[in-house]
Amino acid sequence: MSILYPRLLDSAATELYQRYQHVEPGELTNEHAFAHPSAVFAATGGHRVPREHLQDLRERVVKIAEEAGFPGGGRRRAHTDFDLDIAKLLHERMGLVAAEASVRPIWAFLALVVLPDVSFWRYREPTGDRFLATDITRHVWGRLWWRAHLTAVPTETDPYRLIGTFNESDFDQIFARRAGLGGSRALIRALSDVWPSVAKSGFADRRVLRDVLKRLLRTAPIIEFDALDYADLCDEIRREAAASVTAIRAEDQRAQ
Amino acid sequence: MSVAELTEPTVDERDGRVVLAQRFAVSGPGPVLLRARLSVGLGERGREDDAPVGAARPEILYWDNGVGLRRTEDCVVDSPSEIELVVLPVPDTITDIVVSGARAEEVAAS
Amino acid sequence: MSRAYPYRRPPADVVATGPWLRVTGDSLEELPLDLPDWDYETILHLRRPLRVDGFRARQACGLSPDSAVTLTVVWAAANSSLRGQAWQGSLPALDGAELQIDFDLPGDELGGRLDLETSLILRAAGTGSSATAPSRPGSVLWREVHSVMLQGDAVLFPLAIVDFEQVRYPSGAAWHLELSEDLDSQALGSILLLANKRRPVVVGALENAADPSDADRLVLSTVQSEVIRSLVERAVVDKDFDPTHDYATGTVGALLASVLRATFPDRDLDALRRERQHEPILFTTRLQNATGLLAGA
Repeated sequence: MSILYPRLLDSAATELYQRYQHVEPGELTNEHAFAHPSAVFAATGGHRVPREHLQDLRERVVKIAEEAGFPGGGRRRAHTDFDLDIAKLLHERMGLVAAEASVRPIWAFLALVVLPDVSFWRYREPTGDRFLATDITRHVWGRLWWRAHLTAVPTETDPYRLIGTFNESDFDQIFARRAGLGGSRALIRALSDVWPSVAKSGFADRRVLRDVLKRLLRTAPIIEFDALDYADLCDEIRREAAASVTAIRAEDQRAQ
Repeated sequence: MSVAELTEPTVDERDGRVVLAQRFAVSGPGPVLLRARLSVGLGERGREDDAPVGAARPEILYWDNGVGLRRTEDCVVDSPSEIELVVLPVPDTITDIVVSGARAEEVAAS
Repeated sequence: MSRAYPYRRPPADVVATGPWLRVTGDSLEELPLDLPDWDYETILHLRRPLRVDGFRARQACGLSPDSAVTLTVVWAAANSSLRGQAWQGSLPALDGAELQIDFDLPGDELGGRLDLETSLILRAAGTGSSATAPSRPGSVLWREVHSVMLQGDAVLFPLAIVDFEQVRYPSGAAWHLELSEDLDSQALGSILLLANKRRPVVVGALENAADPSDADRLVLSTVQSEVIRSLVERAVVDKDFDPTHDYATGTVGALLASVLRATFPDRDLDALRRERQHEPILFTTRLQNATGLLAGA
C-alpha cells in the first residue's frame, strides 16, 4: 500500500532550519511534531499518513539513535551503523513508493518537523541540503531510503544484505550518477553484489569504483543492462572492473 | 560556405579495422578548411567530458576526397566538392561526429 | 551532428510493431497516451503483437544465424528515474515470426511519464559473425520507445488545498504557485499549486477540473493563464536564468525554458526583459494573448 507524506513548503523549511541551528539537539526534542501548518498534502491518489504512523516511525528512529549515542556525541563508526539501520527501517516502514520518495519536500518534513532533534544530532554542523528539499542525494533521511531501495533484493530472505557493500561516500558516487546509469536497480544491485569479490590489486576501492562507473556510463547508451541475465550482468561488471584495474596500474607505472 | 552531411555514418571494415565512414558535401566560396570534432556520446546525457583512466577516444583515420587520403586532424578542400571522413570508433560506445567548415583564407589570415 | 553506433544495425522495418494494448478484465483496448486515473496501486496488464524478421535482422547486422537475440521490453519512469525489465522472449532466426509481448506492470516503481522501450538485444554472437557485427551481450540492435503519461496534469502541477492563513500567505489570495529557486533542481516536488480553502469558487473549479461547469471554466482559464504568467515572470526576472543553457531534463530551468518557448516562440528573452521593464502593461497584455486568457470559456 502506498502512503502519502505531507510536503513542507520551502519558506517554512528554511525558517525552521535557520531557527534550529542555534538550539542544542537535546532541546529540539521539544520541537518535534507530527503536523505543521505549512506541511501540505498534494491532491493525488494514495493514503495520507496517519498521525500514529508518524509517531511509531519517530519512536523507532529515536530508539536506534539512542543505541548510537543520541542525544550525546556518537563516534563515526556509530554513525555508519546508525545510517544502515535507519535506511532499512525507513524503507521497510514508511510505505513509500519510489515516485513519492522522489518528492523532496516530504523529506524536509521528516527532517525538520518529525525528527528535528535526531536530524541535528546526525549532522552537527549541517549544510542546508542535509535537511531542506534541495538535493535528495544529500538529504539526511532521503538518501538513506534510496540507498535501501536501490540495493534491496525483495526476493531474498535478507533483502538488505547488499546495503552495506559500499561506504557512504562510495555509495554517493553511484547515487549521484543514477540518472546516467539509467536508474537501473538491477545494475546497482549487481554492482553491490560483485564488488567485494572484484580483485582491486591493492588500489583504493574508491579510485577503482569511480573509474568503473565512468566505463559503465560510456557503454550505457548501447548496452541494455536490464536485458541481461543477472549472471551476465555480473560478468559485464567484472570485465569493466578488470579493465579499470589494468588501466590504473598502467597509469601508475607511467607516472613513476 | 556550408558543409552538409550526405550520409549517416556507416560501419565498415577497412584494412582489417572496423571504422565509421561518413560523406559530406562542401559548397559556397572556397577553399574550405574542414574540422572534425569527435567524442564518445553518452546518448541523451550529452558528451563525455571525464573519460575513464587511459580509455580510448575516437580518432580520425583519414579524409578521402577521391584524389588522395589525408591523415590529418583538419583538411582543406576545394568548393564545391564531396569528401568522406573515416573514423576509428571506440568499441562499445557511441561516437558523436561534428564536422564544421571555415573559409581557408579567413583562417589563414586570422 | 551525427551519432554513430560502433556496429551494424538492421533497418527499422525488420520489426512491424502492433499497437500497445491494455487488458482490463475480459476487455482489450488500445493503450491511450494519457492515463489520468492511474495510481500507484494500478497494475497495468499490457500486450503488444509484433511481426519480426529475425533472420534478416541478424543478417543485416552481420550476425550469423545461430546468434542469440532477444526481444526485450524495458520500462522507464520519469518521476522515480528508475527502469527495469518488463518482458523478454527469444527471437527465432526466421522471417515473419509472429510474437506477442504480454506482461503485468505494477505501479509502485512508476509515476509521471512511462516509457515502454521495445528492443532487439544481442545475447550472444554466433560463430562466423562479421567483425562489424555487435559482439557484446546486451548490445541494442533496434529500439522503439512509446510514452504514456500517468496521472495526467496532477504530476506536473500537483495541487494542494490549504488555508492560506495557516500557511502564512496573504489570506485573501486565491492561489499561490510554489516554485523552487534552484533552476537545477528537479521540477517534480519543486512545484506545487496551492489553492486557498477560503476561496471556494477556485477550490471548487480545481476539484471539478475533469468535468467543469461553465463557471468553473472561467476560473480554470484564469488560473491556467496566471500559472503560466508566474512562470514566465519568474524566467524574465531571474537574472540567473539563461534559456540557451542546457538544463537537465525535468529541472525547473528546463521547465521555464519550455514554457517560455511555448508562450513566446518568436521573441527572445532579452526583448521580453526590456519590454517588461519599460512597458509592463503591454507585457501583461501580451501574456494574456499568448496564454489565451478566457478564450475558450
